[in-house]
Amino acid sequence: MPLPATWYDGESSRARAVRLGCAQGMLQLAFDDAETRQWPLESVAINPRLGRTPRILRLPDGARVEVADSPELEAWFQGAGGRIEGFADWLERRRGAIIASAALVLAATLLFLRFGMPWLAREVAERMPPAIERHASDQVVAMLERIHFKPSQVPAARRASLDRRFRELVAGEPRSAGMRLSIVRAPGIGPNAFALPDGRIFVTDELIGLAETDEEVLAVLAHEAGHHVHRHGMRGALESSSVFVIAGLLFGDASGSSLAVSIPATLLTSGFSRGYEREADAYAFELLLRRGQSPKAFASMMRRLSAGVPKGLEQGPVGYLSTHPLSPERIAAAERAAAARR
Amino acid sequence: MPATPGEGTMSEAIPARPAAAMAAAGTGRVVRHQPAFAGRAGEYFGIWFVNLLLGIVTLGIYSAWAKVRSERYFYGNTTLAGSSFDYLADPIAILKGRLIAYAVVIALLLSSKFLPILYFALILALFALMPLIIVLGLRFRARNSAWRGLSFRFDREGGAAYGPFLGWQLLSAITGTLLYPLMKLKQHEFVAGGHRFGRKRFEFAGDASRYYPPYLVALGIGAGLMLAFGIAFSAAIFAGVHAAEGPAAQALGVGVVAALVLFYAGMFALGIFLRVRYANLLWNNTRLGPHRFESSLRVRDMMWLYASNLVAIVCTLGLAVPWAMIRLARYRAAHFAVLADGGIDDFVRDQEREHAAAGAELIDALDVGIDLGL
Repeated sequence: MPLPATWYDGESSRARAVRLGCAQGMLQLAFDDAETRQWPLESVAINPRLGRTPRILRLPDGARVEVADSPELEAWFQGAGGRIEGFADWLERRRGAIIASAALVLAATLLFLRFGMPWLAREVAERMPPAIERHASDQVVAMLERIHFKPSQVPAARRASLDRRFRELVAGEPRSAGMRLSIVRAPGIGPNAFALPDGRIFVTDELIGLAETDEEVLAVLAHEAGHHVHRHGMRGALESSSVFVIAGLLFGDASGSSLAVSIPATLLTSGFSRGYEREADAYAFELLLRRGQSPKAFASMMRRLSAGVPKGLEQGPVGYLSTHPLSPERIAAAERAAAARR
Repeated sequence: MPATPGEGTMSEAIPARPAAAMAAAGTGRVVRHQPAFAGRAGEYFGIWFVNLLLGIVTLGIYSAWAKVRSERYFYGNTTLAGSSFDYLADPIAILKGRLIAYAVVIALLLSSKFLPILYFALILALFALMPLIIVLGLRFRARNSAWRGLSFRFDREGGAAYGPFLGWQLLSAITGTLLYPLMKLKQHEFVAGGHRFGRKRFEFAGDASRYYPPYLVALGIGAGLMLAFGIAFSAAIFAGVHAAEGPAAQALGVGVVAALVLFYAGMFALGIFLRVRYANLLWNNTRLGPHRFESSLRVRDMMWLYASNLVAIVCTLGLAVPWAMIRLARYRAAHFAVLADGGIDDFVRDQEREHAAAGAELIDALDVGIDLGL
C-alpha cells in the first residue's frame, strides 16, 4: 500500500503530493500528475525515528520527502536511521524501559549527591596544594579586612591566654600545624567565629565579649578547628560548584529556567553545609571531652548566641534555609555529649 | 529566530511564505497560517528520561545526541501550512561545542572559589566575546533549522553584533536602563534582519514609540515595588527592635520572609512581562517579503505558565520538566501565526556554508539565552 507523502525539490519551498512505494530495492515515488521516479533504497537517507514525528527522506538529487512515520518505512530501510538513535528509540517506546530509566536516573542522582560527590570532594580537597588553600583564604581575608575587621580591643593578656589555651587544645590534632588564631573586632559581623581553608581561625571581640568564660570561647574554637581538620572549606566549595555543574548537565537542556534549577541546588548546598556543621560540632565535643572539658560550654555559648537572634527567624522558614543546623538542635546535641561523659 | 533551548520550536516558526510573493504588496489575499504543535507530554517524558539515562551511562557524551533528539522532537512536531520543521544539527558538532562550554563553566566555577583574579579575567573575556558568541549561536541554529527542505540562515558578521549587544548594552547600563527599549530595538533589528529563509531576507521595522511603553510600565511597577518593599522592611526592622521576644517576633520573622518572597515574585513577574511584550513586538514588526507575523502571547498566561511550571518542577524534583516544556511549546504555537500574502511556494534555496557549533553550545550551557524568540 503506497504511503501518502510530501515532496520538496530542495530548491524551492514548493510542496508536491507524492505516494511512496517500494519494489525490488527501489524507492518509488508516484506524483499526482502520473509522473514517477525511483531511487535505490541505499542511496536514500532517512532521519532516525523519534516519537510520532514525521520521517524525512533525503534523496540523492537534493530533494526531500516528508512522510508520516509508519511500519513500512522500517521494513524498507531497516534501521538506516543510525544505530545510536535506533537504540534510543527502541528504549523510548518501552514503558518498562522508561520507568526503569526514570528510577535509575533518580537513584543515580541521589546516590551521587549523597555519596559520590562528597567522596570526590574529599579526595580532591585532600590533594589540594596548600598554596591554593592559602590563596583562596587570602582573598577572603583581604576582603574582610577592608570591610569589617578592626584591631581587637580585647586586652592583650587575655588574647595571649586564649591563643595559648587554643594551641594546647588542638596540640597533636591532625592538620593542627596550620591553625592560627586571630582575634579581631568586627562590629558589622557581630559575635561570630569562622575557619578559612588554610587553617586561619577568626573569632570576633563581640563573641569573646558575649562569652562568660574562656571555656565557652574555646568550645567555639574547637568547632572551628573541626572545620579545618575535615577540610570543610575546600570540600564545601567543591561540592557547591559541582551541584551546579550536575544540575546543568541534567536539566540544562530541559528546564529553560535557571531558577528552577538553582532553587533545589541552593537547598542542596545548604543541606551539605548543615552536615558540615554537625560534623564540626561532633569533632568539637569529642575533642573537648578528650581534653577533660565539658561540651556544656558549647551549649551555653550557643544559647547566648541564639538569644541575640529574633525567635521568628530562628524557627521560621529562614531556619530551614539556614546553613547551620538550628540552635536548639545543636544545644541538645552538646548536652547529650556532656551527659554521656558521666 | 532562534532562542534558548527548548524554545527553539516556536522560535523557528518563522517559516515563511513565498518570498517571491508576487511582490505585489497587497494582493489582498492574506492567508493566516497557524503552527500546530502535536507533541505530547507522555511521549516526551519517555524521550527525556531515556536521554538522561543514556547521558549518565555515557558520562555525558550522549547529551549531544539527547540535545538533537529533544530539538527534533519539538521541531518535528510543529507543522506550518502542512509541513513540519526539521532540526539538522550533527550531534558530533554539538558534542565538540559542549565540551568547550563545560570547560569554560568549570573554569568559571572553580576560579570563582579559588582564584578570583582568574575568575574576573574570564568573566571579562566572556563579556567581551559575548556578541561574537551570540552571532555564532544564531548562525548555528538558523542553518540547522529547515522547513520544506530549505534552511534558514543568519548572515551577520560577528563584529556587527558589538553595537547592539555590547555598545547599546553599556549605554543602557550607563543611563540607568533609560535606553533599554532602544537597546532592545537595535538587538531585534540585528537579529531579525540578519535572518534569511532560503534567499529571502527577513525585514524588521520597529520604532521606539512602540518599544518604550512596556518598559515604562515595568519601570513604574518596579519602582513602586521597591518602595513598598523598602517601607515594609524598615517597618519590620523598627518593630523588631521593640519586639525581640514572643509570638510577635515570630510573626515578624514570617512576615519578613513573606515580603521577600512577594518581592521576588514581583520581579519575576515583571521580567516575564517585559519578555512577553518584547517577543510580541519582535514578531509583529518583522516581515518576510510580503508576509507578516503575528505573535499574541499574553502576559498573564505566560506568568501562569512559568509560575506553575516552576512550582511543578521544583515539587516533583524535575519530573515535570517534560510536561512543562510541552505545554509552553503548545501555548506558543497557539499564539503565533504567519500572515501570508500570496503564495508560499516560491522561496528559493541559498548556498550552503559551514559554521561551528561552539557558539550555540556555549550559550546553552551558560544559560545566557537570547530572549528574543521567547
